[in-house]
Amino acid sequence: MMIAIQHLTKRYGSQAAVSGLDLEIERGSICGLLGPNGSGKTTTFKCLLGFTRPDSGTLLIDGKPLEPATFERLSYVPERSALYDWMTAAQHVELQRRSFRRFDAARARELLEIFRLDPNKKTKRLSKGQQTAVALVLAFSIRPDVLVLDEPASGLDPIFQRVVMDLMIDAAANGATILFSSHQITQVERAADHVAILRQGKVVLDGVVDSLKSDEKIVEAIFDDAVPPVDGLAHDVRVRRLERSGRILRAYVRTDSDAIARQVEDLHPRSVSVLDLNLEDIFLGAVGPDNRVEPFGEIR
Amino acid sequence: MSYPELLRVQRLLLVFTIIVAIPVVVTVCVGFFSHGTVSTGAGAHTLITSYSLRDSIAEQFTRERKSVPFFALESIAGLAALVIASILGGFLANERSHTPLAWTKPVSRERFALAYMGVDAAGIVASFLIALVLGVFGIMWGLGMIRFTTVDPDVWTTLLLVGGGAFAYYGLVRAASQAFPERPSAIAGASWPILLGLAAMHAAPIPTALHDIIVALNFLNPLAYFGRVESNGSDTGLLPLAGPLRIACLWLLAVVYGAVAVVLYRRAEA
Repeated sequence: MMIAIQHLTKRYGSQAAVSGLDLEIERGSICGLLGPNGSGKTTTFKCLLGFTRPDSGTLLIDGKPLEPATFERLSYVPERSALYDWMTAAQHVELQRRSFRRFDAARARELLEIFRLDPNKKTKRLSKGQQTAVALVLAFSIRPDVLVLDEPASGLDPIFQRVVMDLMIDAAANGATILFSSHQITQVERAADHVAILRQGKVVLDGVVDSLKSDEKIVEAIFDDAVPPVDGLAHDVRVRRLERSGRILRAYVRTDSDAIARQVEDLHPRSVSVLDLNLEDIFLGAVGPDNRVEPFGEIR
Repeated sequence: MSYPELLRVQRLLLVFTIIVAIPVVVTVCVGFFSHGTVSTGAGAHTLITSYSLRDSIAEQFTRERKSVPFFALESIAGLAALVIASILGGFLANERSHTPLAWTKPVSRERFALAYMGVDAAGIVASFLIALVLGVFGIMWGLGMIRFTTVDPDVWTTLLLVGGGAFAYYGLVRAASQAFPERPSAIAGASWPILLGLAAMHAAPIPTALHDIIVALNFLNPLAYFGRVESNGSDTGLLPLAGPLRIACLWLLAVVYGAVAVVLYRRAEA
């Protein structure tokens, strides 16, 4: 494992920001950390990077506890800009050059061009998105083995958001391990092969994205009139949950979705479709009240 | 890794140099271009001589056999270095808002803090030299007083005293701003009235118990160590310490404050 977090607990006063958190990320993997505000994502990053001392737990990077030398091959992009507002982008790049043996000047120049940044402009004159871009240039210019990115596309326009995702995918393809958080589930869905969902300082769901998506299917039926009684489905062990919204019926099916679809067809709907779960469904299912999504008035 | 501090110190020294240069330029202009006349003799034999300010000062120093001791010039430059030291003292705590950049470098926190302090120490020495060479000597040259400077045996002891004082002051502000990192600039600014007030209270007519506390606190106050240390053994100073011991204690204080600042920085959390 490239990143291993075991039983991590961090309290601020009586409040547990992270409580018994376990997370393992394989080398070359992109792990998206999802969770509502205050779920412990940033605290996890802070503990992982040694910014704050955990109350208990073990944090290992490439099998070893964090030490200064680890940062030679680890980059971090914080959610909020930590740049020196009186320094230019070029001076920040110079700071990296002086600090890291692995610094790649050609890569830094290339990234500055990709993000269309003026290297001689002071950071305080850059927009929030451009400041994020400078932080990304610094992070990627040392060609790190481990990247920890807290909202890496924050403030960027959709074009550059796509660029960031591509940079991450490219880095992972070259063997880098990436742990990133984002409130934009589509970004996580696009880039991450692994997802961990945090809720109240704990990992409530953790797994490979494709596997999580294939764990369940949604059988969605649209009726001409009101949804007829569905007692049979409601008691079917293969159906985890049923949702009804006006003339729409949705069944979250664990196995044998085609058989359930045929069963629904017997109710003579206008249409029936079997849909894959998307990451948003998985996320809302994991962090919603009592882990249940009830946007429509639930049958069961 | 201490590159931002290097840039900060460079900027500070540039501003400092400009501030120091202003009175030098004014003095040189006044010294060279301000003329007066002196009349000697009477009647048809009256001789009217034109004097620049430089000439009249030189004439006065020569006539009265006055001199300017070098240790006095060192002390003035030392005071300027002390001001710079107090400003630089709060800089490391300012790094707090840049933690994600500063603490993700492949160096230990101790080495990081020491590198910063090394840059600051060089900045303090540079400010002393700028104040001495550009400021004090510039003004002395403008007034034509350079040749009246006398180098006495107290030069080295004064240098050690002002150097130790500047570094101890820097270390104190650094340690204090590290302990209370929310307001490093306020700590640097408040240090002057607090430390001067503490030194002033030493001689104030206050109850004995309070006086003892003030004396004890003044052992931690770098400003209380200042005073003349003469090579012949007769010194003037606030604290009951002989000259060489006073200098040694001041440097020890600088080392202790610096070490405290490093330890506090190492233990800091973001």
